Amino acid sequence: MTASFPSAPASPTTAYAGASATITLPGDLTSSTVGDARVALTAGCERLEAPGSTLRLLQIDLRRAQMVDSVGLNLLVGTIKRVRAIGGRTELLVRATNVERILMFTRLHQIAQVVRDA
Amino acid sequence: MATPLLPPRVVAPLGLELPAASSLAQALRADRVPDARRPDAARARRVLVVDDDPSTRALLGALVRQHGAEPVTAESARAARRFVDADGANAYDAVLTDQQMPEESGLELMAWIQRADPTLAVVVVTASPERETVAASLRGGAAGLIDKPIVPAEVWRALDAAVDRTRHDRAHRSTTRVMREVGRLQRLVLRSGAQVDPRLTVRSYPCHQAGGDFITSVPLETGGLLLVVADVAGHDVASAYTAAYFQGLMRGMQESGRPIVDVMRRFNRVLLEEWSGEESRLGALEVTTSVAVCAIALDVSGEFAQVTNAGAPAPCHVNSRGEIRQLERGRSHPLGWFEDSLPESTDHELSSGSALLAWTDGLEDLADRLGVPSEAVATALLVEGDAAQAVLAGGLRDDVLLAHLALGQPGSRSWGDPPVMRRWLPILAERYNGASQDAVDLAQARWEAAIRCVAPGVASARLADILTAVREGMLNALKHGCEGAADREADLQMSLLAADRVIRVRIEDPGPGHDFDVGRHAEEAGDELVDLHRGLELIHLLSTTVRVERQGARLRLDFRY
Repeated sequence: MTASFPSAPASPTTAYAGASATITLPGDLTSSTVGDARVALTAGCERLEAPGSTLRLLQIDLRRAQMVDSVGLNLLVGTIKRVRAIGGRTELLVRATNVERILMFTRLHQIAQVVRDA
Repeated sequence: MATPLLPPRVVAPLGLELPAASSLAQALRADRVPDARRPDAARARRVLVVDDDPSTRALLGALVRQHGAEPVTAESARAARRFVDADGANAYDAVLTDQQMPEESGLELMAWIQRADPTLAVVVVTASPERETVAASLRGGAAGLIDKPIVPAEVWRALDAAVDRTRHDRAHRSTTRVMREVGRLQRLVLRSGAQVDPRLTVRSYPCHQAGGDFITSVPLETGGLLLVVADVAGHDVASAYTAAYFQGLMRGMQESGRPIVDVMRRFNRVLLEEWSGEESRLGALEVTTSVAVCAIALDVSGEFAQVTNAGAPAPCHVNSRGEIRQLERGRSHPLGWFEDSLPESTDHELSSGSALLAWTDGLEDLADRLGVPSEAVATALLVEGDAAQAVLAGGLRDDVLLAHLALGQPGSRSWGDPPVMRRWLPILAERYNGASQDAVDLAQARWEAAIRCVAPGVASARLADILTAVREGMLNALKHGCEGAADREADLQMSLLAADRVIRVRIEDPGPGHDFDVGRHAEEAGDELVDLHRGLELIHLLSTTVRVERQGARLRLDFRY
């Protein structure tokens, strides 16, 4: 399933503002798309981990995702743990109610902040 | 010797003889006129010549007579109309009319004739071939235009073309009437056949006026039922005739106690040996020579079926648990193809609360074009409503005929719904090899299309839940159950219980299963859950109910939507 955003980028994009880094995923986070997402999230974590970095918040923008599967969840968990290990926080931005439900059912909201964008 | 009294008979096009009282004969009679006036090769062509100038009228009349036709002359459009009203338009093979006449022009007369009988060709004769006259003549449907001064060869050429056009158009009109009536009779027969057994639901979507698709159900002497679904090649009177002949042969042989396989083999010989070639006894009747037939003979308990298939799509069985089984397609070809390709019967055990579905090729063609499984299209048409409308909006290129036979007691608790709504109906039944994990997105798109086909009203979020759970289950089956091996396969089936709005998914792999207990690990926080088990947890979270068998190697997931 693909999101219905107009002109969605083909690859994840990263933006930095103050103490936060925002990584926007272009669509679903599944076993098929996790490769590009992993590269972007790894790069984001490395920026947070860099000596002297002032970044403390990693926002993962999943508003274009209609579906997240277990491989995608595993990537999110790994990223959240890595950010937590350096004292940072992770926010998961979602729009689809089923994606939010999955994050809640799998208790990811206990280790990251899930923000629903209506 | 007294002449035996026989019902009057009518000879139809293509040499068919019909009882005169039949509605089909009456449709033909609508084109009939008394023999003396019939526009056929047996009598002289008759041409109506219209011109206000006596000398031109006489000249044209003479030219018509010289060309072997019979002229009827009229001095005005009004007089011409009187002739047509009195004799009938069918009495004439062409009209030659002057354009410039007082009171009413040739073009105005032509317009009147077009309304009275659009098959009667009109040639306009004009002294001044003005561009507007020419254009108006062509727009009005004139068969030809003759310039004055009159040249005999031009008159004869225009006359021949006009008469040919009249005959062609009338033959087409006659055939169209016959086809419409044949189609109407076929639909009547189809409806009455379906009403024979209340367990049978038939859906018929013809896209031609008549054709050779039919479904018939015959009660057997043993108390069982014979269901036959057939598709004769072609969509014309000949294919309708072939279908009728086969049904008559079948009933006759059945009443003599002959099994359906004998009927099909006999008809194969009929098509190949008796109806083929120019030496056919049927003369001008061009018989279609192939019939795809699927015959299902049910025993009195409805728990045993014998399937005899000759080139038709394999019938589908769905049991009371929603499990789908194709009742294997025979190896034979349609009847009328090969002498040595004979249908054989195969035996199948069924179960109470199940259903049998059978359909013709037109449904498979529609499914191919929609990019969804045939089973999903069949189910959409059976549940009707928005699902059927969406499917049919895809456009039919061939007639679609579908039968659903309900066996035993239904499983759903919604007793007030029609039988098709209270039984599991198939959506998809596919097999994937262990090495196809990389193609899961393509497969997922197909699952989505199939679900949307049968349940177009399912909410996007719920659809996403179903697809996520199925994806997890299938990836697990392919990766672990099949160990990623190309020579090992996992099965995926989906079925629908429309009355309860439940989609059931069944995933089965050949592996040994696993020992992960989702319930025991329910309280573990997201970051503590082992990656491997997150997929299994998702399946349990997203499904309405989960049934685990064979240590997880077989999963049955229900989704209420």
